[in-house]
Amino acid sequence: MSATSTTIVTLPDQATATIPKTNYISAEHGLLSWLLTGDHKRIAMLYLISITFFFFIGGAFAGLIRLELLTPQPDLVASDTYNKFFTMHGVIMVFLFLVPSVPATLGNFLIPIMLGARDLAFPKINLLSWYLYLAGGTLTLAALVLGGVDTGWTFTTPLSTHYLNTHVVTTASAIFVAGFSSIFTGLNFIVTIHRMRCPGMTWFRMPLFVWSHYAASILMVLGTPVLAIALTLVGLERIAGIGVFDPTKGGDPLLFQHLFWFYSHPAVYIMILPGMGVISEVISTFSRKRVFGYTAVAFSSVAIALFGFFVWEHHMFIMGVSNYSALVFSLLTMLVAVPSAIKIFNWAFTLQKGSITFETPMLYAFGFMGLFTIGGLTGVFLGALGMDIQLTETYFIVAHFHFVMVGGMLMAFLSGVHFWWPKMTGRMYRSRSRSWLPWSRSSAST
Amino acid sequence: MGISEVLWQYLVKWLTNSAIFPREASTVAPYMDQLYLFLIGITIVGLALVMALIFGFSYRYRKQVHPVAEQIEGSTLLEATWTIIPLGIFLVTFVWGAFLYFRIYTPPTNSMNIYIVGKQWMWKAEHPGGQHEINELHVPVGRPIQLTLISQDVFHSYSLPEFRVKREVIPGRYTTVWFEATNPGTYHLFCTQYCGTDHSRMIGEVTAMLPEEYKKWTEQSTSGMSLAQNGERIFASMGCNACHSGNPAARGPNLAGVYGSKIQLANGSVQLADEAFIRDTILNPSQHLPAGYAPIMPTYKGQISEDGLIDLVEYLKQLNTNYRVQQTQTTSASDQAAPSTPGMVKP
Repeated sequence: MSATSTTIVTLPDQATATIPKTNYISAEHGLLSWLLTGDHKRIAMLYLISITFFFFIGGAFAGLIRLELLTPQPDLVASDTYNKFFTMHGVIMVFLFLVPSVPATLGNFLIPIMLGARDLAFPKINLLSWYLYLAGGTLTLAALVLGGVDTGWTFTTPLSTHYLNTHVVTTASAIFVAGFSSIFTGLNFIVTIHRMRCPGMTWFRMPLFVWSHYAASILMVLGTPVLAIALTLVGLERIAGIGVFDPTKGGDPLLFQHLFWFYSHPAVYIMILPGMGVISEVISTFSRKRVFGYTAVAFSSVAIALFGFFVWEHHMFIMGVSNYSALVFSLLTMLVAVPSAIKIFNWAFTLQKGSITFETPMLYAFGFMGLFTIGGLTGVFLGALGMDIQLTETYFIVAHFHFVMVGGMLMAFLSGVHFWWPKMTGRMYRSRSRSWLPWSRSSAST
Repeated sequence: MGISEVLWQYLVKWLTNSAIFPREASTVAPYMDQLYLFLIGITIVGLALVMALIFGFSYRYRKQVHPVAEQIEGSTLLEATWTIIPLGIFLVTFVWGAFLYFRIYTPPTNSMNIYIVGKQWMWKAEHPGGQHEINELHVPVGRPIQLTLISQDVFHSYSLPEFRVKREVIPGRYTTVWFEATNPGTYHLFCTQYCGTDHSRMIGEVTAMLPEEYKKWTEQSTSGMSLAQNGERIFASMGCNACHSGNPAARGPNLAGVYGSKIQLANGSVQLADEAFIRDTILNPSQHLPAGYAPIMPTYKGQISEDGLIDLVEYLKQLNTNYRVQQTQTTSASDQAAPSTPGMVKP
C-alpha cells in the first residue's frame, strides 16, 4: 500500500514478507471469470486494457492530423476527411480515454484497498459500467467504420443538427452510453467513500488520491446527465426536427453551448482531478514524506469541484453573451485557478527536507508539475475577458488544453500506472528503459 | 513600464515585425498586447519559480545526501502566501481583462455601422450606402467601425487578428464588435469557428484606407441603391405598407421613428426597438405584438433572406420624417454614422 496515510507504515522485512499463494489474477481462470467478475481489481484491469486500446486509436488520429499538416495543401486527405480526423481524435481521447483513464483503472483498483473495503459498494454496477464503456466504444468504432463524423468533439449546433450528413447520432449515442459508465463509476466511488471506510479511516485520514476521486465523482454524477440531455436533444433535433436549438424554429443555438459547456467544463476537472490525486501519492512516496498541507490539498480538490460548475460561460465570452454575465464568469474562472496553484506549491514543498529518489513515476510527476503549471497559467490568459477575445478559437487554446490534458493528465496516468504496476501485476516494470520516457514525453509536449 | 524607452521601442518594433505576433493595426491592439506581455511575464516567472523549487529541493534533498526525511505537517503562513499572492495576481488580470473586454464590445455611439453576413463558406459585407463585398471589407482608417454580424446558417467567427478583435457570428442573432484601424494596409480575416467542409477556406482580406481613398472607393463600388432604399423596395413588394401605412387608422402601427424607442407590448413587457427587435418582429410577429393591435401579422420566416432583413432594418432605422431628404444625400456615401440608439450596448 502506498505510504501516505497519516501514519508512516513500516514495511515488513524482505525475508519475512511472503507473497500470498492466490491473488486476484490466479484466483479464477478462463475468459468468463474475467467477463463476469465482480472484483474491482479485475474490472480495473479490463478497463486498463480497453482504455489503452482506445488511446492508441485516438493517438493514431493525432498522428494523421500532424501528417496532413506537414504542408498547407491537402496532400494526404481532403478537407472532409481531415475534419473527421480531428473529430475522432477529440471524441475518442476525451470521452474514451481522458474521462475514464485514472478513475476507472487506478481508482477502481485502489480506492477500496486504500479505504480498507472489500470491494466497491456496487460490484455489479461497476462491471456494468465497463460494459457500457465498451458499448460506447463499439458505437464510436461503428460510426468510424461507417464513415466517421465531422462535427468536432463539441457538436456545435446547428452545424451538427442540420448541416452535416455524417454519423452524428451514432457518435452522440456512443457518448451518451459511455457517459452512463462514467456516472456509475462516480456513483460507486461516492457511496464507497461515504459508507465503506474501515474503522479509524476518518475523512481526514483518507489518502489524497481518494479525496481527488471523491471530488471528481461529484462532477461525474452531477455533470454527465447534462451532457446526456444536450446530446439527446441534438439527436432529436436531427431525427425529429424538434427545434430546441434551431433559430428558424424559434430555438436558440446558444442554449446548446450552455448545456454542452455546463458538462464539458467540469469534465476537464473530471479528467485532471484524479491525475492530481496520483501526483500527490507519487511525490509523497518518493520524497518519503507526508504531503505538505494535507488539508489544503484535500480542500482544494473540493473547491475545484465546486467552482468548476460555475465557470462554463468562459467558453462563450465571444458568443454574444451579456457583458455583465461574462464579468461574473471571468471572476469565478480566476478563483478556480487558485486551488490549482495551491496544489502545485504544496507538492513542491513536499519535496522540502525529503529524501528524494528519482524512479520513473517520480520523473513523470515532475513532468506533470512543469507542464501543468504552463497549462494552468495559459488558462489565466483565457480567463481574462479581453485577452480571451484574441486568443480563443486559435491554436493558443488548443495548446493550453493539450498542456493540461497531455502534459498534465497523460503524465499523471503514466506516473500512476508505473507506480502501481508492481502492485497490480506482481511484476516490476523495466526501470532503465522506462526512465528516459518521461523526459522524452515532457520535451515532446513542450 | 520600468524598462528603458529604447528597449521598449526595440521590443515594440520586434513584435510588430515578427511573424509570430500579428501587426498592431487598430487602436485597441496595443492595449491587448500590453496585457498579453504582462501575462507572458507572469507565466515565465511562475514556471521559473516552480521549476526552481522542484530542481532545488530535488538536488538539496536527494537521498544520497539526505537519507532520512523530516516530516513537516504544513505551514499556515506558507499556505496563505501561495493562496493570496496568486489570487491577487489573478484579480489584477481579471480587472485588466474586463476593462479591455468592455472596450472592445462596447461600440462608440459615433461609429460607422457595416453589416456582415456569414454563410458557408463566405463573408458578405453590406455597407449602408449599398456597397456589397464578398470576403473583403473596406474601411477608412481613423474612424470607429461597428460591425453588426449575423449568420445565415451555422456558427462562424469573424476574426481580425491584426485588429485584435473577434466576434462569434450566430444564426438568428445580431452580435456587434468595433475597431478603429490605425494604419492603411490589407489585413487578414479568418473564420475561427469550425463550420464544415471549407471552413479553412473561409478567409478574406480587410483593406484599411485613408479617408479620401475610402471616399473614392465608396463612389466607385456603389450599387446605386442604399440598404435603406433596398429595404424600402422590399417593404413595398412584400406589401408591408398595406398595414404599416403610417395612417392613424391603419391595421398596423406607424413605423416611422419606432427604432430606438421603447415599445409597450401586448403581453405587458416593454422592449427597446433595436435591430434585433425589428428583425425578430418581422419573423415572429406574434411574440412581439404591440399593445392595442390585433395579432394579424403573418410571419415572414423563410420569405426574406438575412440580407433582405438587414435592408428592412436599415430602412426602418432611417424611417423618420426627413427620410427622403437624407436618402438623396447619402446614396453614394456609406459613411454616415449609424443612428445612435440608447441602450444599443450589446446585451
